[in-house]
Amino acid sequence: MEAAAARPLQVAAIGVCAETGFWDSLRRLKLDVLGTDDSPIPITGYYTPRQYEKIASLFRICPESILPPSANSFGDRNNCPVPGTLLNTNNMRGFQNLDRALILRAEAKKILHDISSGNVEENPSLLLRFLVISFADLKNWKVYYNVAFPSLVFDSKITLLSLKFASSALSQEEVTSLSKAFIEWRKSSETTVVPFFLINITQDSTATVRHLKDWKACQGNGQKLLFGFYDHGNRGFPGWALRNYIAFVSLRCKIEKVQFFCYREKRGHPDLQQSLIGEASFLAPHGWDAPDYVPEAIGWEGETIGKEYKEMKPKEIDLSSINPASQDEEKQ
Amino acid sequence: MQVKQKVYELYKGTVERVTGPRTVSAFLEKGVLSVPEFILAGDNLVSKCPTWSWEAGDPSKRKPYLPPDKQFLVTRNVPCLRRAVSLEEEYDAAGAEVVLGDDEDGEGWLATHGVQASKQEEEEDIPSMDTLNIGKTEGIKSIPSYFNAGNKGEEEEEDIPDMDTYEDTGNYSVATAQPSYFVAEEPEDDNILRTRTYDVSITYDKYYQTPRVWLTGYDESRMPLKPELVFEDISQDHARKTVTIEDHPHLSAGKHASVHPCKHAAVMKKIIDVLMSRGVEPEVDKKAKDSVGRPTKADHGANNHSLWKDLYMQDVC
Repeated sequence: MEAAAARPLQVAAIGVCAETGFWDSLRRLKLDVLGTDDSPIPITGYYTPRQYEKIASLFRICPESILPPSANSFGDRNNCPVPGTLLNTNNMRGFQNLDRALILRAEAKKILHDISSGNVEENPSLLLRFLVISFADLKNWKVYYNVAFPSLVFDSKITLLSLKFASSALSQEEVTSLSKAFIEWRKSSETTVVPFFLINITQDSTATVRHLKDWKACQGNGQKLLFGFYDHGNRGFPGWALRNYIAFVSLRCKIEKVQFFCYREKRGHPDLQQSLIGEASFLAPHGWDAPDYVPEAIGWEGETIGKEYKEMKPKEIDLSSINPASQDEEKQ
Repeated sequence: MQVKQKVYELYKGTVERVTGPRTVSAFLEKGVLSVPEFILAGDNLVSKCPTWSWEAGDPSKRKPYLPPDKQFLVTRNVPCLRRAVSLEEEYDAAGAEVVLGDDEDGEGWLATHGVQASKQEEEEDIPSMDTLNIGKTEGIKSIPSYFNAGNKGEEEEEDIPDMDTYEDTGNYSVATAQPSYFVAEEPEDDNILRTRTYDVSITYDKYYQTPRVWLTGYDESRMPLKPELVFEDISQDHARKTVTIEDHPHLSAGKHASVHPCKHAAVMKKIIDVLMSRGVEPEVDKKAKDSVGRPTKADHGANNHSLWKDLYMQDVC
């Protein structure tokens, strides 16, 4: 467990569950409203910290997702709303010809803008912005799609200096106090849907969870400051969300070393035994603050290093279970 | 079969339309649940087991007798690590059923596995739906141990994994030649490969005046599971009989497996009677303080519906 030496930061990718119900909503929207209009559609995805020990939690795209967060009241502790973009093409060729690298960078640019403009402090889930590209083959009741979580690429490697389970990195008093603070944070309907936050631990081991926008007030008073986030993962790697979080810390807080906290739950209760505390260092990236700068980005689900985007296999979902015709056939 | 089911659904729908929802409690007399009792029990479930939430579901399927934001209960991405078939094989191999010792709360559970087998399970610390084996009493043991986390806090048998073992997956070395990021793949561990997940939901069945459990399955790559594959996770005694594939009352898309509620009230009544005979008055939103009814092998129906009992009597956390 004790991290031996500094090493490049590695994070766990986020798995997506795009429910049949979401594609059914898209199908209806396309038939009733969109027609052949293939402009990007703002949608909502749902994120949650890890809930069970054995498996990472999934990012959910569900019937409610078809609306943007601004028009969507759905959200709770198990469904933190995250803004996303859907690009649905009208045919297979259109889908295959999408310039995946380019559209990913365009989304990453939005994230970068939200960081530097201060939007992230008001709405931290902007750091988890996602992208869905699809071809809904409604004639054949099939959808082909790919999902990405755009992540900004630093000029040089982010170095992981240490990584420990929270229970071994903190004192018993700190663990008790922090657990209490998390229970409060998760209880309130206002804070529970906020996946990025600050953890302040005073010298007398009192822990508080605070909003990200308080980072200035929390700095440099001799107290322990951890940048916390809901971690979807279940293993010894921090979750994907940490990468853009570090970009935020670098750009906004102008620091080159951060202590982070990967918050995980066990059956809906804070799990400080398997939550992680780590320290990472990084160099400030060049040029990110220039207004027309378009950052490098990674983040397509299933993306493997060195392969061309075009070789990326689309995911395929069969919608025949919602086809009324096929249900009639079954009955005969 | 299909036609019969269709006619039945039509009949049930008509009865539901013309009769009002139950508002007066008949929990103790008949084992049924009124609408306010369902909501009370659901609120309690959500507060004690926060992975559960109330949801509104598809607005076009909204039931007017339930609050708009409390149409049904759901918990998602519940891991199911092994298939029921393999559990049944183990069950046969392990032989006898054993009663697990009463714990401090005076609760005892009937385990279908021999002592050895249950030990192995503890080691694995399978969180919850190992498995959806509703038929065998195995389900009785595993579901409550999942819910028990609510009030027992950290479980003692908890095996805290060592960080070293995480990294011993072989993937780590792959990363050395790569840039500063790494998409951590699932290890090619047999267990992980077979991990399906389920969304479990509980709806209120107005006709039977009972809760009803629904299962929506996903395969290892998080794609919806075909209904026939869901049956692999349900004991063969019950697949297609007490567990059937139907349209979900609050979700628009896809077919979902459901435990048929027809025997639910009768089984509840049996359990209530056992409790009452021991001087315990069960309440829909309170955990029974004394021991709970222990279904026996002869009481097949109770085995089948033990899951319900746990959810419904709030012996869930």
